[in-house]
Amino acid sequence: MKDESSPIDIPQPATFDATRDGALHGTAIDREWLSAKQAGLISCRDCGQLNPLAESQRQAGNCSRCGSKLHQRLPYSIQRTWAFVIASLIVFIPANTLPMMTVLNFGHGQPDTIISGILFLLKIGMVPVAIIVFIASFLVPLAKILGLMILLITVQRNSTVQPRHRTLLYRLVDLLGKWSMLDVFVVTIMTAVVNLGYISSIEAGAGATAFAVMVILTMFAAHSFDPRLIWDLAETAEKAETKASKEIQE
Amino acid sequence: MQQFLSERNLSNWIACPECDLLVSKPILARGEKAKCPRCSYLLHEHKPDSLNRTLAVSLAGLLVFIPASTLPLLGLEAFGLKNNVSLLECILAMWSREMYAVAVFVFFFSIFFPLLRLVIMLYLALRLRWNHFSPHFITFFRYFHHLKEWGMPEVFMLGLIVTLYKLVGLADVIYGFGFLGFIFFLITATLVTAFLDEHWVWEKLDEGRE
Repeated sequence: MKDESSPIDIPQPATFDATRDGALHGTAIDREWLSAKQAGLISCRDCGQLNPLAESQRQAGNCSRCGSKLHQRLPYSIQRTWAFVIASLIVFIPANTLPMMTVLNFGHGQPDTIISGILFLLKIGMVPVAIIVFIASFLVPLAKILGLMILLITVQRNSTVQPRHRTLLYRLVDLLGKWSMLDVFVVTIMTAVVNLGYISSIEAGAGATAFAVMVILTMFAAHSFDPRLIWDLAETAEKAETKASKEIQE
Repeated sequence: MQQFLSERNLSNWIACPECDLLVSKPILARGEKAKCPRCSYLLHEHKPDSLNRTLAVSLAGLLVFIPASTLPLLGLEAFGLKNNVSLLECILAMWSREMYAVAVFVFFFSIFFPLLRLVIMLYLALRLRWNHFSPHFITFFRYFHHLKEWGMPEVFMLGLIVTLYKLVGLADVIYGFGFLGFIFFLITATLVTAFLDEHWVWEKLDEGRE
């Protein structure tokens, strides 16, 4: 396969070898990775089919298998992710400060925000539940927003630090996405169940709407970030390194 | 490079969806998984008997759906008053309190998306079982994986558990059959993901077109 006259060796795509843990891990010659983009290919995001990309085109049209629109990388990924991240940060404020619900006993009650709800759970001694609610409704949304900001800033600054860990961070953000919806569901069920007329009832508050919108915005943010951007830069850095090391050897 | 790849059939290669690394399409034996060598993304997993299992689970899910959404989930009993609510009644309660957005979100995330997935899966499994293909089918399956991202029955389940904890101190809680129904609905919705081999479906659709 190697062409002796070419100055740079052609990297070979990885192939699979079975390993002990039942998973297959690829091995590449000289640990030089080859991405679809470098090989002039575009993989379809809907069905995974590889499509060739002509040298001149930046837009490759539609997938040969399923007809989806093809993009080498998600269009305007960074701008769109920033927009959603900033929007979620803005909505994070009313989501935490507006009342989620008001428990009315004999016509009296205090509006509950997320934080005061957690404090109430602690007060009646439901520590594990309080921790679950605190993690799902306060920590996770914030961590998601911060995580995405770290990813955006590192990609924009052309950072090549720890691409693998940053990919794991992205995966975590994506995975945690839906769990923040917990509080909205809790308010919905509570409002419907606790409905004993004048004795005891629950009124849902505007905080619940703000909170749901915030979670949806963070999910949109995670979906609009393209993790392949992390590796594009790592690749160019790797290339430069191998080139440099080759020159030193010579 | 171009030449190097064009000499081989493109369908023998895949690119990792998360880091774009080119790897040869893994051929898996029973119980094996293929992970991306560079970013450890799970590329493929061997799923035995995918079609029959998916068919069975989606059918079970559709059967259990009606009791899960219409029978009472939870109720309260206090001062001689009783109040039972089903999942649909929870959503209607939000709607009647003019919390339209929340009502719509809860409806879509906890019922509609998981249900739609089961319906699509059942339809797909039946069509594949009898080898009836049509081109519109491919377009149809393209959007399928987005439903997994937006269906949240498991989060709703956790919401039920947290609610229980909150109510236990207030009054006597009554469990309804809807609670059990929803647990089963959640199990089927989760198993569809576990049993369905999307790569296999795409390959079948390819064959069907030829």
